[in-house]
Amino acid sequence: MTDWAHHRFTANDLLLDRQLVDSRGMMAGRIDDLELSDPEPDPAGGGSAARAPVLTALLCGPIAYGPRLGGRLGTWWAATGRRLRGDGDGYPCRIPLSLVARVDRMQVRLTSPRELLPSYRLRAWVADKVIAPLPGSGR
Amino acid sequence: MVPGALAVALLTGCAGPTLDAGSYRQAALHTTIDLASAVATAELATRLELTGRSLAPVTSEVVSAAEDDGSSIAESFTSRQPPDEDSRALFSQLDDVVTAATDALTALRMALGLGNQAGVRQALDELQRARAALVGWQERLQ
Amino acid sequence: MKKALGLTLGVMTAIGGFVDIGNIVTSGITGARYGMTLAWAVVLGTIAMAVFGEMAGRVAAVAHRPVYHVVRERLGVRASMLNASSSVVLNVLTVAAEIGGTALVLQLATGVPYLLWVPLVAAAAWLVVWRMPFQRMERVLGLLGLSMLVFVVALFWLPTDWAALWDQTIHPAIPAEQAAPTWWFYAISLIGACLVPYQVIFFSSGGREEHWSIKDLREMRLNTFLGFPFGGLLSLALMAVAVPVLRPLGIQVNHVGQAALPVAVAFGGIGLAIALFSFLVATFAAAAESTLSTGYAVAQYFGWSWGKARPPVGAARFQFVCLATVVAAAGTVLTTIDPITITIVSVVLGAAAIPLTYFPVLVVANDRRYLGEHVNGVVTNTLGTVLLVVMVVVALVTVPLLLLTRAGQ
Repeated sequence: MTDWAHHRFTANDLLLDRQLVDSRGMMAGRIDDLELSDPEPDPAGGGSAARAPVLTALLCGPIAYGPRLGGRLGTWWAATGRRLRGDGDGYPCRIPLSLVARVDRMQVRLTSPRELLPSYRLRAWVADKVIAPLPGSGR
Repeated sequence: MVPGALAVALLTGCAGPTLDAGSYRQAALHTTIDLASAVATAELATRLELTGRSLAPVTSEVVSAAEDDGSSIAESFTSRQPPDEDSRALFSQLDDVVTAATDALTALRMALGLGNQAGVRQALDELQRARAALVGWQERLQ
Repeated sequence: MKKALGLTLGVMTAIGGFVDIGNIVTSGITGARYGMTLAWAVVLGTIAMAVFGEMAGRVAAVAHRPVYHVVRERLGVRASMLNASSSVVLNVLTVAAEIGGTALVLQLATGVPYLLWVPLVAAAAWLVVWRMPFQRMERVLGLLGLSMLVFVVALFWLPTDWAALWDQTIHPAIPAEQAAPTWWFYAISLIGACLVPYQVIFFSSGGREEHWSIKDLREMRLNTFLGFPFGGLLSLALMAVAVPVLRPLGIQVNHVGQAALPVAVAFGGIGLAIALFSFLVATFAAAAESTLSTGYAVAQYFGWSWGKARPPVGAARFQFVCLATVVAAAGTVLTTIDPITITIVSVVLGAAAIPLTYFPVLVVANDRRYLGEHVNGVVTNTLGTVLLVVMVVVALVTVPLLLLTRAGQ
């Protein structure tokens, strides 16, 4: 459970651009965007209040970052991100809220090690293909 | 000349035909100042070497650099078009001094490279004369 | 002894970060050309560096974040992108200048052309970044860098006219035979050489590499208020030795070798060797530091792992950025552009970018959410603001002066 449930805050105050820290205290990127979703339609036909969008995931990586930067550079950035993904999926990397352990002003702690996050691919590629083959890389 | 090189990069590479007699004179003044600096540098480094107060590779590097500076200063001086007859006269008078200085720098570098003590001392004398002439011109042009 | 070693971050930042190829070149040029009439620019730059360095160090110690790490969440994606990318561009130029400078010093000492040294210097700088533990790096290079004190000692051996030096320092006036715009141009280049952006990045990230916390605030302040002024003093000594030796002969400094000649006049070959060694250490340390700073800046902006505490695979993208920086910088030098020209361009552009690179430090150091009771006091804020206003003026006049003086001719 997160301990933010009963406080009001703005995305800018606590979430956007904050450092993500994994379960072992390792840096795991920054929050580039937020995902809001319509909750599942209530089968009992609940009122409209239940249908307000709720925060469901933190988004990160170039596909989420590009549009925030805006302009031509942002478009290019996001396009590069999509190309790097290679799987044709144009949706940013999601970190579902279930992985969030704690939020404070400076960082967002996750319950998972960063190796298991979807945003880990570029890092893994650089580490395996560029850095690890060099002598003394620590592998 | 470092700042010169940068300016050349900035101002699309023209040392340029000088516009009027006044700025030709100004350019000539700069030539004497810059060339006197190169000559004095080579002199200082060589005198330190002769009195055993330097390191041989440093002396040879400093002198070669001074020689290179000297030739590029001389080259831009020569390539500048004098705008009128007076400037042309100024050029021919100054050209002798400039040539003497660059020749002495070359002679010094060669003598140092060959370890020719007498040659080094002779080149030093020439450099000293050239520098005196350059300084004299600086006062006249200022 | 432990305390003395603790000072090395400041000393190394002072030697490698403060006195680098930029200071060697600009101090040498200005001392030979203008005497001490531009000493005020070094003093101003040093004060600004100490004030902003202290703010950055305080953020690192109290908020446990290097200052530029906070910039993105504080200033937003775009402003911080502008800040980070200008730092990166200037850093790469600086790394190129430092690698070129180190290679030039090696050419002086050996006679082997500097272009052949460039790949070796770049590889050595990269190795330091890649494998050498942070503390060992700063201690070794910091202690070796003390050799630059030879310039201070030389001042006492040379026929230094102290009264005249002091008079020029406190009554700065443009020498009669010199043009005013050029004098101002070099004033700006001296300020730029003191306030290179990588210094604050390195100092505050280094504080995190050394795990500073609130109890280290005193040590950090000692570092900033002793280390940076020490670097300023060395810069002034580099300037002052030129006055009794080079200036009377009308020697203008165009090469690194000329800046070292006054020490040969004072102490002969041994002195010259020490002077060249100190140039080598200062420029090489700065090459390593500015490379690291590029990695710090990029990794912190994107929230990647960074630092030398873990093996390179643990901070892969950080190391990748450092590697790319060294390669790009070495490539820039290998185009055969004169390294001294690269140096002057980098300090002058750095001067123009000071508001961009240093303003965020002032903003973050005033944020109570990060610093609590340790936010800037009235005195620091007043000083910081006045200095920034001065720097904005500097930034505005830099490019016109660059063009007007044809880069200081």
